[in-house]
Amino acid sequence: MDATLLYFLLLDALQNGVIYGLLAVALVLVFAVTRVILVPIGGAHDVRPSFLRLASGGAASRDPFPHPGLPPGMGGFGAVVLPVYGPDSPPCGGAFFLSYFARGTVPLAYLASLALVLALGVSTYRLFFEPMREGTVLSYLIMAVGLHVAFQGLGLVFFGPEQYRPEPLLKGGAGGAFPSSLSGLWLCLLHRFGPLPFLLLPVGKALLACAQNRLGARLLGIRPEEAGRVAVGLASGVAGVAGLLLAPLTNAAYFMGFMLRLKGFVAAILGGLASYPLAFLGAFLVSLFESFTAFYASAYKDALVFLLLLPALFYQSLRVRVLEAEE
Amino acid sequence: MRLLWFLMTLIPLALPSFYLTLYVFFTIGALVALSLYVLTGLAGMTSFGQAAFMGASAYTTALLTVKLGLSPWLGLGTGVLVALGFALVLGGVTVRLKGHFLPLSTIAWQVAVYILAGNLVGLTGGHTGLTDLPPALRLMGFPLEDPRAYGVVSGLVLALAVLALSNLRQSALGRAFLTLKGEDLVAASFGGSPARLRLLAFLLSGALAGVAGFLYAHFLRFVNPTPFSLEASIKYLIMAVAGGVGSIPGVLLGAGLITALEDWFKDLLPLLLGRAGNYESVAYGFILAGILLLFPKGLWPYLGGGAFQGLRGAFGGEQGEF
Repeated sequence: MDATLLYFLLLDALQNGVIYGLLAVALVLVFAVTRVILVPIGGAHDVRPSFLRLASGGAASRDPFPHPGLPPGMGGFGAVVLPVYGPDSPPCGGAFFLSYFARGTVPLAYLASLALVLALGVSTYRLFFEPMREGTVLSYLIMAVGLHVAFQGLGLVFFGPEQYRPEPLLKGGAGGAFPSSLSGLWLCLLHRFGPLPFLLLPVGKALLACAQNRLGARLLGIRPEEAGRVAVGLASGVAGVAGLLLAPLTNAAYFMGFMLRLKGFVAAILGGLASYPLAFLGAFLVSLFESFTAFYASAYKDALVFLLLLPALFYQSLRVRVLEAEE
Repeated sequence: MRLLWFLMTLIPLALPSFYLTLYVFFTIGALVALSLYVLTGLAGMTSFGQAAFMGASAYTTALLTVKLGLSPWLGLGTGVLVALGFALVLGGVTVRLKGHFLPLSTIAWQVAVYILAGNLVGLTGGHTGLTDLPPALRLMGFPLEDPRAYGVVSGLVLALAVLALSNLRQSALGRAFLTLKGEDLVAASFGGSPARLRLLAFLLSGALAGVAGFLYAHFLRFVNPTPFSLEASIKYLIMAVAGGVGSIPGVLLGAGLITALEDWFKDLLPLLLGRAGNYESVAYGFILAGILLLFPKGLWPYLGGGAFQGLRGAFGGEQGEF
């Protein structure tokens, strides 16, 4: 291994680490806010990456070469969204048509994709998770996984098995990796310090209150459902940004969200599912590990990343001392 | 009356040969779904990695019989032991943590095992898999080459598993498992160790899935990574949840329903939608979502009508909270 190689591996790790970090942070955010019923682990953990896929697909739709399969796919998308989403379809449909008409104009397409992801994220939460008020941790998780399966299948139907490579917003040297990593780093900083002013706003305080104690929040007139929606919306946005950052680097494909989410989850677990900075640190650890195992044993890199979980879980289970009531 | 379950061993004798294969798949699916009954219905945990336990056992028996030429029955024992070992490692590091760590870790574990099975070409044959498992799985001198005989045996295994689990449900251990669904404090106040109970439930469900993997491997006489993927695990979870994971008849109902639907979807959906694709997974996902929204306890508790009431009494179905 020489210095150039090391440089590229580190660059790769940084680049992926930003993506995993964003996903992990989104996961922790939703988890913390509605921890009690764990809706968002569902929302964040399984549904969101599907939107990440949709987002990247949306971004891809303004590919200068119109893909033959795409417009009917998009039409089918509308046909599914309208009946399934019922009263929520205007925002979803609006965002969807926005993203359709935004093909060709790069910044507009990015914004439209983000809007689509946000609309779909919040409506999915409203439609599939809010009615399950009596649900248990398990049933939310199972619901989330079921939705993941459905969305991944839909992604294949709408976007096809082909991969798209959207135009990047910024172009740059070092294999195109630099601007993206840098903008990702900016996002890290924004994420690290952005919440500070946000938490001073009433909305932020409401989220914190729900994260602390759901019942207490309700006593103060905060609706946990609304806090949940805000958290899911934020998480969908963050995941959408992660998708848009990644799509120009690796190609956008219908299945891309799954592995990313799992690694975001590994990162969040490394941080104990509780802390943003630790989750981010975990993300960089995961991506560093991944980029070096990719170099030495590329066929096994994903398996090795997941096996990284075992020591992390072992460490955490050693730390658990008292019996805690499951909230 | 619970002995009525043994009627399941007679079903294959009456089935036309096409449905025999489906019946064997039903028994295998039902065994895995029963393993989730122990885990989810009784102990209140869940796993997205049951197919990995199946795979561990299926690959073990395949390796022992194909590469070493040993008896399949040795494969059964070793396969279940390997599945237990997997469950021990994964359960050991998660049972002391809060409830959501286990299911999420099983997803990661499942994916890792799938990737390893596909890439350790020297050992597992990669995605091509291992072929030519011995044809003559013999039971007390009778070869089980014929699918009909195999169906009888797998039906017998399923009936035994059902009986064992319904006894377990009534036993002290089963009631101790049930306390896990509330707060850990409940189990602890009655002198049980929540971590130990969780580990036991996880081991039991791993072993059951291991038995299903063994049956699968020797029925098809071929193993490759695909049937042991995350999608398969999710399918088994859908089976358990669709019928109602809180009761044994519910789990079997779900297994039967999904096995039939799967076969049906493969023919119907492409016709309906005009082109081929994996619409099954979309349908599964939305079926699961619909059942969770409309029938949170699964379909079985809602089959209220007269005939079913009698059946439910006969088969001793108890409704459990999910």
